[in-house]
Amino acid sequence: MKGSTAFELFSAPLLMIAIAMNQVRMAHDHALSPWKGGGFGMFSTVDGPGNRRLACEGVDSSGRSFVIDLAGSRELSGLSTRACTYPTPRVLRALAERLLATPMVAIGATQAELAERLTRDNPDIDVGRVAIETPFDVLRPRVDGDGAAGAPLATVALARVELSVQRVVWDPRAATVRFVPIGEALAALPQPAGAPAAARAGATARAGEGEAS
Amino acid sequence: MRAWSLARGALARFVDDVLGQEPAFLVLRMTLVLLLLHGAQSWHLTVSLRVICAITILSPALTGSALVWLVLSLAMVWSNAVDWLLIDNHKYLITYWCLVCSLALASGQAQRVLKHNARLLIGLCFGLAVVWKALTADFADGSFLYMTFLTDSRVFSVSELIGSLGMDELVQNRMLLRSMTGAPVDGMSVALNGDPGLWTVTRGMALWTFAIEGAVAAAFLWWRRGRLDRWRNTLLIVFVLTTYFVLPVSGFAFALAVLGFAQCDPLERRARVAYLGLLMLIPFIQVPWASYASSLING
Repeated sequence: MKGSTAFELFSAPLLMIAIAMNQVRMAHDHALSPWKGGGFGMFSTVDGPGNRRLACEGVDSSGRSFVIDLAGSRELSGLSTRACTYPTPRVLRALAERLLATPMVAIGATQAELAERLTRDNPDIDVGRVAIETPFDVLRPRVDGDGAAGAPLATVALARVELSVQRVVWDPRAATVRFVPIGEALAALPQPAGAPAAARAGATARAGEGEAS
Repeated sequence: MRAWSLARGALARFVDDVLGQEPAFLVLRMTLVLLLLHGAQSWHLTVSLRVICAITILSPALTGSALVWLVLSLAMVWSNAVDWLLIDNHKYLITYWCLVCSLALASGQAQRVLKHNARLLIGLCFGLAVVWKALTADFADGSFLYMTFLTDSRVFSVSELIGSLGMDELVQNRMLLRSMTGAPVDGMSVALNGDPGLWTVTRGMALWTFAIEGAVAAAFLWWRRGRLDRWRNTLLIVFVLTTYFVLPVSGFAFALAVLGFAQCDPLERRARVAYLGLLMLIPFIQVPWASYASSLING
């Protein structure tokens, strides 16, 4: 029987330490959620992926702006979850490119309609406590069968999208919740065919809007 | 009285039968059960793990094969690498442990390698958890746990039991938070139903978590034999019982119990029996105890 070597005794713990240190670096430098990535930071902070959200705004060619609701698309909401967990410029650019290439339909929700929908879906909710300061219209990805039951829904082509991942800010004294951006927002324009890869998505940072991550 | 002594005798024979197996082989079988129950998160890994583990657990030759464990490890590494952003931390721990199992079988000193690695992995897991909790501002003052008890539906029955809010108010908190994540518009803020008394309780819970996790990390990483070393099994079992019956993450609890068993010396019979009992208790984590207790108290 041969003796155990250092490799057999220490390689797994060393791998664990290496991955955990890398996770701490990614959380510090690139806003990876402490809950994920193998650093054992779960249940240590309110900044879990479930308490982050993606603010996703689109502008059509006439300059009208929309909030984009990704919940109806499995692929896009999956990309959104990844972007919320690890909001690097590369991940956000990939999502922005996908959004620009996706036909959207306006579902015409406004501030009042959102309030009505919240009340209808959740009869116990006190909408008065949800303070909405910005009116908005909503776009969602076009799906098969849209408009089949009535008038066909017009497809909206996006001329620009802006993405911002936000994390929850919890004030335990007042028991209030709000969201603040993590890092810089990303704005993207459709690129002409044949544009160099580095220029794709035309990423521009909005100055002064993000918090340091 | 006779029924009681018969039951005790049967239980003792069962324990002797289980612990009479070759220690490393028993740990490998426990790990296969862990993989079957909690190994996978994605459907493709669930299917492949269930097939491989079910075949392996039926065959002692396959259970002791380093090649089979290498295949299991590679399946875990591949699947977890694809979903590394989405998987929970105990999936990482289980993957490291599978790698240890294959290395242990290849080494020719399986028991020693399993025992050594299990102890280090538990110590590091708790050490890292304590470091993260110390790095984040919202854990030490109890505010993270306070928000969790106000908005996480997994612990609502506990919140109802220890706080003054009713289930309707807690569910409403969940809806309010969901409405904010679902309608991402700048400038939204929402006031949840708060409970200052609950915050006081969660401050105490935060301190307890720091203390018990720090103690487990120290006891498992401190290499010299002594008082701390003697308390390590008690500390780990107390942590599992006091944490996962409140916050039901049975996959993590099961992984810690298997690793806890693996790091025991075969002569530590009482500790091994305790971990065996813990493994049998873990499925009961899913029972809504707090909900029953709350109904009992409130009529």
